[in-house]
Amino acid sequence: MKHIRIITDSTEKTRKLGAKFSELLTIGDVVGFIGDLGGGKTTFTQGILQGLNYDGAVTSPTFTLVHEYPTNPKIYHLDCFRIKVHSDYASIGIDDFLLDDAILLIEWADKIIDYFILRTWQVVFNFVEGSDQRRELVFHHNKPAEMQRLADHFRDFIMETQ
Amino acid sequence: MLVLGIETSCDETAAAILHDGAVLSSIVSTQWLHARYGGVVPELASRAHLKLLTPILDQVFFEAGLSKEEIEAVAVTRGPGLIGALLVGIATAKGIAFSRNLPLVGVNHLEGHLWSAAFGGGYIQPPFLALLVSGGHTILIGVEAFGQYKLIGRTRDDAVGEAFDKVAVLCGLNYPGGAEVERLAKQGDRAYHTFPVGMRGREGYNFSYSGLKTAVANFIHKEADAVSHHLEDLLACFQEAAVTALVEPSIKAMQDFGYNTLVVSGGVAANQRLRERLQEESARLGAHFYSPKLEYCTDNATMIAWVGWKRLQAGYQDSLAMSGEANFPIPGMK
Repeated sequence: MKHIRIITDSTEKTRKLGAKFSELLTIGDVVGFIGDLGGGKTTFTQGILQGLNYDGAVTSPTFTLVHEYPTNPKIYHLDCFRIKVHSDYASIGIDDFLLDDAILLIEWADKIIDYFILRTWQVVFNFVEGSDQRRELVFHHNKPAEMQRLADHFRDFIMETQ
Repeated sequence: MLVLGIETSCDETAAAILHDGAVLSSIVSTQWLHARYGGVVPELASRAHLKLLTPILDQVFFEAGLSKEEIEAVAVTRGPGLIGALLVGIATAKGIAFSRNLPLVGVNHLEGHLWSAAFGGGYIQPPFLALLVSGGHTILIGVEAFGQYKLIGRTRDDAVGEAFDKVAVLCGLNYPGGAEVERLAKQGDRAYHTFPVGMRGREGYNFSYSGLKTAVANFIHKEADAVSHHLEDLLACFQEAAVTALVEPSIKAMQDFGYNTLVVSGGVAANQRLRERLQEESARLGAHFYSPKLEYCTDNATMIAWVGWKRLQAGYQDSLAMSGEANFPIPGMK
């Protein structure tokens, strides 16, 4: 099982999926989001924060690069949209965040994903042809056991594994 | 009082010298790194601040016709911003303050923006409603007096400047493309399509841009010729929705809180359509409307020196133990 696909047809559902996904996360986890603008990354992130009982605003870190949330565990929300040079990703301070007892959420992670090898979730957001609301979320983790946990956790949702 | 201001919170290295609030000289350096990397890269940005700050300080003293011995206080951006970048300005400011035994004052970057319509156009008498719009921030603040602020609204997701830049990317323009969006939108037909106005019909005075960005992305996916044949129209409609989402809560807050003056500031305050709409709507209420000179919309050190001067007058001063704060709240904000 390399990928798990879940279809969402509304921002509300995307947010719910994020909240449910947050139940799987523990200290040290890194989640990379990959997908085009408008794909649902922000909404999914809002869901994760909601799932961790954070009720404040979850704003985009594109310009400010890093936001920190006082959740339990702590969340660092990073954004690599403005980072253009591959060799510079370490300079965003990621090593400091990795050493902290926290979960890292990284937007535009395709620019940075090979920096991590283990304990990394990837969530790809795809547009679905023929519908402007529909999105396909594709989950991947390097560890088979984590993929199995995800499959069990989301078994009630429309899903396809391959 | 002669105040030196230093700003290194994000992309710009800047210094300014003010005499009792009047600008003697002001220099902003858009870093050459941007042309090369197309965006701010934090650690590299800090190094650029290091490299650029000393020559910029020399230049700002030269243009003011002053020697370094004549300065009477040092103001520096304490936050919010990138910590590595902030520390370059703060360490430099401390060095100058310590060596000449001058008062040091840390300034909130956003408080600087709040007052930036006041430079070169005369003091704006509070109370007023301030709409602060930039790449990283979209906030509505009630200004009761200097140092007395009330948070009225803020974005729930993206900042408005970010929405402009990201829609530019969706349309195949270069990042950051906010100014290019405005240029193209001027030639477009605002009746081409109606995009949703964030937070319309909701309680309060908040903003939202994530939905608008997604609506533009969805529209481009659906309408194959939107970007190739209707780029100007598409951008005109996006801009109208983005601007309306700023205007409506601002005007509602003016009425509900009884403000008689509206002040816009920040990088997006340079947008002509936004200025036009705010001007029109303020006039309809019989209210005053102020916007900064274009050079004071974007990050600058004049606003830091100005707020530093006001803080010193109000009796505030910081010790040499002051540090930078990435998430620095505006002092006096409720």
